[in-house]
Amino acid sequence: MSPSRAHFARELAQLTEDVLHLGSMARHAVAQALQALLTRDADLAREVIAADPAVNRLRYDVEAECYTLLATEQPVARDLREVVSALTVAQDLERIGDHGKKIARICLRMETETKAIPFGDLPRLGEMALAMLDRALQAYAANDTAEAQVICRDDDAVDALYKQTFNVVLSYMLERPRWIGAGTQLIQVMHELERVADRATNVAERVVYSVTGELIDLNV
Amino acid sequence: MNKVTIEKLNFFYGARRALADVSICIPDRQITALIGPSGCGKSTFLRCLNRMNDTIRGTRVAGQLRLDDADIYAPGTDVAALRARVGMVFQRPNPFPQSIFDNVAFGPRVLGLARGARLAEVVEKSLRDVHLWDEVKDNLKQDALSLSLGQQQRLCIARVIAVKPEVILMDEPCSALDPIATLKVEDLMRELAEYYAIVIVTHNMQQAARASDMTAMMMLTDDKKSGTIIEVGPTRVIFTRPKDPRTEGYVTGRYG
Repeated sequence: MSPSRAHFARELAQLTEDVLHLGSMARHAVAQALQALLTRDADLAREVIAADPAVNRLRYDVEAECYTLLATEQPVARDLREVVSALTVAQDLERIGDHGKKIARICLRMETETKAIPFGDLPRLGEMALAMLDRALQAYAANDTAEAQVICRDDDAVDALYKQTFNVVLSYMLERPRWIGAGTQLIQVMHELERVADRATNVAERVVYSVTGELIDLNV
Repeated sequence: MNKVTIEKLNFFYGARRALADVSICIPDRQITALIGPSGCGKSTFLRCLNRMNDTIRGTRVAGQLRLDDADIYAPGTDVAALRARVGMVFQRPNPFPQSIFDNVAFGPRVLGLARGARLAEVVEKSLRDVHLWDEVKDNLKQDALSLSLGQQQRLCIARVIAVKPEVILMDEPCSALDPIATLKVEDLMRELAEYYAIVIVTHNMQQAARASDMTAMMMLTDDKKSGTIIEVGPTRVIFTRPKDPRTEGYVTGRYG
């Protein structure tokens, strides 16, 4: 038997490439927003916010690509799973971009805070969430279900660090009420990062579905 | 509940084994689609179910084929009665060169099932069941060959159901029809499946996906000499997550 449907295969490859591009834009948004926060760089935060519509646009483009493939190529089996996975992955990636935008907005709000609060483990939380996203995108690019399954363990570590950092910030606020404003903002940033990790897990779940046809919950 | 049970069916054209160890259960009141590349034995398999292959000299059947509990190939089987229970619709509509009425009345007359007013009732009901009655009720004496191809195929289905079969075999019943006529036949199959077990051979993947409950994938064996069933499952599973990579390759159109 010889391979066929070369045109469709090229379109599917293009779809994967577009999803990965969306992933890299969303990752960039979160990384830049974090850097803006940690270095108190308001200009950088504004850049992140300004770049968000392009992320949204690409997500809609990917969605439209999927609808076109469904309507014109009528994919089934593995092909169908790849297309519908791209649809849901694109949504998660766009939302990851939104988390970056929210962190950038918090960064601008914190600019007015004169009382600098220690960031504690927040940078590490950010690194871990971004590493999970990298791993999820690599798994997506390579259809690597083993890598996708590992992400579940990473998410547990992120959740644990989130709780720990949350308690530290809470103790700061209890000790020094003048830090309550900044502390509340930091907790919000931590929450956004924790959501980035959750969405990376969603991407990993779609990799498993795309390859095996099994719908599983890795976020347990 | 299974209507037809096939176990290790082997079919030979002379010395050539065309079907190798085919096993499958055909459920009652459901539509089972047979898919697979050309030449893998789908039609041969279908024709084993009502002994249509008996008409070809030098053929031989081994294995178990049961309609309910009765052995289809038991010595002394009344083949005409079997074919009334297991009717067949062919690739091209093949009405007899007779009137519309006589086409549908043919089976009941030959089998002595009905005559006179009762026969007219059977003809009307059969034509109503295939949604042809309103189109032809004023022209029942018209030559069946004057109908459109889509109408002719529904007439052939009416001819089959007029003798109250239990199983309907369809060998690419829509391949000669346009898309609208095709969808009419598919809708009709869904309605008929409330009463009959239907087995359809189709090359149209979308038709198998749309119109069947179970799908069986046939392929040639590794030596390329015989056809066999490599995977059977609910259609929704075969078209979303088939187990066998050969099925995957075939339904996606990537290989084959």
